[in-house]
Amino acid sequence: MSTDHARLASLRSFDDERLGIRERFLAPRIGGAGTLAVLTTPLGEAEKPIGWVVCPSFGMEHVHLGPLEVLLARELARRGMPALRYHGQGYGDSDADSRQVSLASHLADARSAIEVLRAEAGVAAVGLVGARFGGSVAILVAADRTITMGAAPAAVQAVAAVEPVCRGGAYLRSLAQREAALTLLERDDSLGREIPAAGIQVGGVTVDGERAAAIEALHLGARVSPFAGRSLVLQLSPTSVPRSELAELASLLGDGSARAELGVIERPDALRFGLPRFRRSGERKVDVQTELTAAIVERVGAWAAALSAEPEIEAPAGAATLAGAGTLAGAAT
Amino acid sequence: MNEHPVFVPAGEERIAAVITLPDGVPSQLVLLLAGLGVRSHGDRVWTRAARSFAAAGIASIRMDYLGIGDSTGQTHDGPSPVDQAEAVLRTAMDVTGIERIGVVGHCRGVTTALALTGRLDGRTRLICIVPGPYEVPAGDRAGRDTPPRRARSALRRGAARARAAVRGTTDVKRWRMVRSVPEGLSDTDVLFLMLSGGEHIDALQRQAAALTRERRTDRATFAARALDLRGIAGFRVPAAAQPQLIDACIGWFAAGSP
Repeated sequence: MSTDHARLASLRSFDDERLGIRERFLAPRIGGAGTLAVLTTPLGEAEKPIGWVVCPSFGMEHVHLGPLEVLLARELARRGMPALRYHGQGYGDSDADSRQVSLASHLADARSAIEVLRAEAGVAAVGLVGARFGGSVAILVAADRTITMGAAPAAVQAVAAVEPVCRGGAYLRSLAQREAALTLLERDDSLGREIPAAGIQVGGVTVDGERAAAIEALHLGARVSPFAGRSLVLQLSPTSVPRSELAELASLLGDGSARAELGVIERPDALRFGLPRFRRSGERKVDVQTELTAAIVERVGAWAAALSAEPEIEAPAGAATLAGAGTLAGAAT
Repeated sequence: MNEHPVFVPAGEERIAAVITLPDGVPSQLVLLLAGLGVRSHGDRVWTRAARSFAAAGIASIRMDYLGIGDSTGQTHDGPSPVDQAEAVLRTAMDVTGIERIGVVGHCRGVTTALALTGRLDGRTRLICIVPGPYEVPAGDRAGRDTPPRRARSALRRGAARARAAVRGTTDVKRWRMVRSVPEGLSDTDVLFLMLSGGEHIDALQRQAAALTRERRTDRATFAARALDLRGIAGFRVPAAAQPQLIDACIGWFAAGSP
């Protein structure tokens, strides 16, 4: 009995000629501990103007939005841009315990992932993309003026946030309500049970009081400063009317300029975004959010491709350009 | 312990999986099958199981079905879940050189595991994880108004529907998993592991004994036992329930080692 290490190494990656991409498993340190990540790159040696880090969402949304994140990464790579997705600490194949998951851990993970992407894909310019809580993390890493991590905002050149969570309190309560409904099905003492002050369980993640308070206190509009790079805030809704909180967020990020864009995808199934997406069909499952996901992927992919095609992005004084790809230290401190 | 993420070919698609190897020579290789979910499974039970197995000298592999997690393809197209599981297991066997095989299935992964085991050569040990019975409280608790009344009412309606939907699988007298044990299953030691058995474990043990008698000629054996996880684990296996479950699995596989 002996392990074929050469074959194991060969199975770590594959080329998809249909899409013109390569996917490769990485085992990086992200957020201070080991985890697994997947780097998706375009085939060939073409210049890679910008790479993207896909910031995962929180709790069970980590799973429900996973297919979107995977397809986003593949679409970005298909359009010539490398993309890195990863298991944040406390999730999936990561090393840390699930009890360590917090807003701070998500932010630390994303910051680490930027460095991993730069090292592995050889890109100078980096964009962040995420949905729901992952979208909020992407924005905070790029443009958090409260600087909770003891460092300046990360040097990123673009941000795309799909339905970012603007108010952490409402978000956490919605997750807790979903958890309560699930718990009710499984335990005989659930009905009438209060969410304990010590913390709650939300989809495999235990959020203690302190971490819950940090998320509840999240008010994106109050933390974000104008962002020197380009940003896309994407709203999903049954109507085309922009929501005020997202319009304000886009305005804040762009400082009133065209650097930030609010997009709206109008679909009747938009309200299911972030919820369980599979229905059982015989011995298989069927994804009921396929069309919604495809619409998001196309919109974000087209926006990112247009961005990468620009020779140089106009940025405020003191901020780096996409082509220059330096730091944005002057942008948000 | 070493973890090796791999993409297993399945036609034009790739099945993402993680092979976990112990530091020393592994005693056996165990395939961990979720229903149709991600490879770490809900609440990361397969991630923790794989690492605990490695500490006990057992190699394992966990997988994303096509269209799930890091795999390519679609959930509704391509090879069947059993074909996918077989491709992953045979690749892991080739790469590691391990021939002694175990399988664990949870939720619909049990059906896949039973069908897969029927295709394998050599003696195999299989664990079918069975959810405990669902017990939703009756109206005598309705006076506690902690969720607002409207939300509570909605939750209760949802619970009633869900309870009705799963009754067929949790009532062991009509239990589909036992009935779906394939006729051709041979050379397999099957353990039905109930997360919180209560009074149902007796019925399940009787069925397991009957299956063993009926299938004595093809050398398949069936056993059943329950864990004391009532109020902790139902369909899902939260972190608090995982050590007991994982220890039970390791014990079953270790007992089958030469």
